[in-house]
Amino acid sequence: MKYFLTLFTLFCLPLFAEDIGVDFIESLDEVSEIATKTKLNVDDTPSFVTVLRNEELRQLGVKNVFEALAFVPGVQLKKELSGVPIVVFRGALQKGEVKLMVDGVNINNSYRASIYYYMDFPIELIDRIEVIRGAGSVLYGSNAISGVVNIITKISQDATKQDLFVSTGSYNYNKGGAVLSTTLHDIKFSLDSYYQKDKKTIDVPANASGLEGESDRRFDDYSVGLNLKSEHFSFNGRIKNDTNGNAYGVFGILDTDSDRFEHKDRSIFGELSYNNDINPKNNLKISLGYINYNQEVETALAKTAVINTDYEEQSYFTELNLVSKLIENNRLLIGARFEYSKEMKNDFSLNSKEQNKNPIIASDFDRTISSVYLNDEYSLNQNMNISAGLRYDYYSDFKDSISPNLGAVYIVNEQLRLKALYSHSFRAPSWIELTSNSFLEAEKSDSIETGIIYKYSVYNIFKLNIYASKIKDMITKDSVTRKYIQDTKNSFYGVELDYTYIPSNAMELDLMASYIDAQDDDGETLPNVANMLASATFTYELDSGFVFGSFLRYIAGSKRASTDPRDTMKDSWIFNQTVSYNYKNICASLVFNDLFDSGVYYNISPNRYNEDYDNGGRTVTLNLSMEF
Amino acid sequence: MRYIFLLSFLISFSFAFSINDSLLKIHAVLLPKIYLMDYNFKNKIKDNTITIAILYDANSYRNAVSLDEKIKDRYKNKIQDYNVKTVLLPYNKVSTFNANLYYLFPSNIKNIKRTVKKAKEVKALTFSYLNNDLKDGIVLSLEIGKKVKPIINLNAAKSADITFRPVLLKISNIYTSKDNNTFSVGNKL
Repeated sequence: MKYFLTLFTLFCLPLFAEDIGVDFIESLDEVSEIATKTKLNVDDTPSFVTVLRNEELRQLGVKNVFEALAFVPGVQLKKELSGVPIVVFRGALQKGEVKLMVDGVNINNSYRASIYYYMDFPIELIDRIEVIRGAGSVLYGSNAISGVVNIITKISQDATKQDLFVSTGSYNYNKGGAVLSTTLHDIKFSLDSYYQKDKKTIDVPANASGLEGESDRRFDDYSVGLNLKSEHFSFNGRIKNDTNGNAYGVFGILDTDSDRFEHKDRSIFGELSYNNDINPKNNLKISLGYINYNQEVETALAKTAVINTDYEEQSYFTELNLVSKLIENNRLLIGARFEYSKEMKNDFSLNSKEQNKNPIIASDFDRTISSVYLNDEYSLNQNMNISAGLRYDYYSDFKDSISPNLGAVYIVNEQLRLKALYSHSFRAPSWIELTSNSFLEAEKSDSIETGIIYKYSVYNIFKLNIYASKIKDMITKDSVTRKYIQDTKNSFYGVELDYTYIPSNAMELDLMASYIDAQDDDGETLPNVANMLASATFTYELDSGFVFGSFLRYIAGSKRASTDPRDTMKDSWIFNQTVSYNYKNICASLVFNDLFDSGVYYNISPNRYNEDYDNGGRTVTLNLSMEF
Repeated sequence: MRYIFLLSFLISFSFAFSINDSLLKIHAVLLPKIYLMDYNFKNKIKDNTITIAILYDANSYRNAVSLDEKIKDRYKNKIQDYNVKTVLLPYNKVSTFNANLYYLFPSNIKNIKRTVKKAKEVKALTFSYLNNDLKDGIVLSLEIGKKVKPIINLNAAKSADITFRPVLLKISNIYTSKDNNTFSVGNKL
């Protein structure tokens, strides 16, 4: 008996050991996939990506998506006269040149390709923001000309979280919300919601034209998101609604009735997905979705005239993605997408919401987009990864578009990586542009980029990249005829660097800087682009639970347009300080934005007030959050 | 006020790294499995239970709770025929608690060294959130590249009486240098 037992043990032990080994290697493959999906290993991929994570942003007192994007090299924040936030990537100023997604769902509308209505989305609901600096049309289609931003919410993640948060601050700012999730019968239910508002106004002093008054910056905003996840099916839905004051007025005239004049946005989307590993080498994802966008504006046109607009559109889409690792060392993505968008409401009226309605854009606009794409990531050997992709888009309302890209990353050793990327991207003209000029074609961009990542140690990381890009067939507004035309091209040359230094186990210092040379057709510097942006962030923690986060940002002054007689926009320095205290699962933080009250100004075109956009000075916010 | 601020600044620092939740998810998948890669683990566990102590300080408590939940969600307190028990443990209590695996959130050097000492005493495995802690005697951490790879400090493993299976050594990076935080790739035994 002993003999047989010994034999059995000797026979089984290696099998057990082998099983453990195989199981462990499979787990490493699984977590490598997690690392890829959550962009933990972006340094080993050919693209130039910045990932902003919730934990880091909260330590620095960041409130929303707009403020978060200031932490991306080469991004300039601006505002329109109406108070609408604009994000400028690498000097590309035209609307619709940045693609925004929420959990992978497209937010850019067909009307104006705008994305501003998600800029106030609070950081407490976000797991991370993935930002591609530069072009990305192969995977993301239209609008991915100068940057792609994907907001990944907490509820879309696998973990179950319960999070409550409240805030209060200057200008009667108040915010409250929650992230809740639970699992019932193998279905994960997650819900998030928030409500925020403030009553900000800024005094506009009298000027030479005799105009003065109050600039209305109030806002009132809420959103509810729902995510259901079972083994293969998931549903992701969200409604977001905001009401905003018109700041300097949509047409540069302070609203005479600030309680009444405002602009409202409502965005709704829902996406049902089926996701299945057909076999260990192939994954299939099929999605069906609905997107609705509504915008209402009421603003002064002159002292006695009021403009009302009411616009609504909706889209249906379906998308199929197959990720295959059948061919050794390859990760091949094959995708197809079909989308149908239609204008639903399209009213413009003068002085009365109900009478004398006219269309804002041509009536009965609709658009069908059919796309196919493929992208392969190939590991040539342990040190060399190559990525190649191609996309074809057919738009029913203008010509089609082909977007290729090619990239490589060479891992010289554990410390050094070299990257190179070429990509072609496009932007479909928006409906407001096509209404003005039905002959418009897509804007096209070609970019080349190289980069170096040097990790002297985990405490000393240096990243530098240099790019050159050209946007051809740019769609711009003719200053005389006010029609959209397409007869110019812009060139952008730049360098971005990011250096992380952790001098001790207690501190982290991050330095970022970017230089942009943006030129028009004639080689002249583009106006309203800050050619130098720099920032320093410093965080340190005490054993007692206190965390200090400091953020200093420099924005170089920018040249004015040739028609703008004002002096050059001055340089600006902004310093924010956050002090947080952690006790168990509770975190309290006090945030001082623009601590030294130097004032935050955005460069806007000449207006009746002869000033740049005054965003106000120092604000203080108190945040309290609890995870349970 | 200024002096109070400066005084608080001089009190011993903890860690400035913000903890990444996606990385915790990866750690939760690998932690219990990696313990089975020790040849002698069966002789070290009691009552057929692998005890994992998650060490935290004031700034990492919420992350410790999150990791604990992730391990429980994934393993439902069981791996193969063994029970898995997770315990949240403040660093100042590490010397009083015997575990089979100590997971370390970023902390000061005093806490790291205290944990290393305890782990050697009870022949336990140490796994750190930060791979830089290997220079202070931690046995294991992870390197996140295109592929996730364990990093092993073999000297530290030897002092804690841990002998890893060859399959793990074959796929891991081996920590070789104490001075410049560099790692060699695979097989350097």
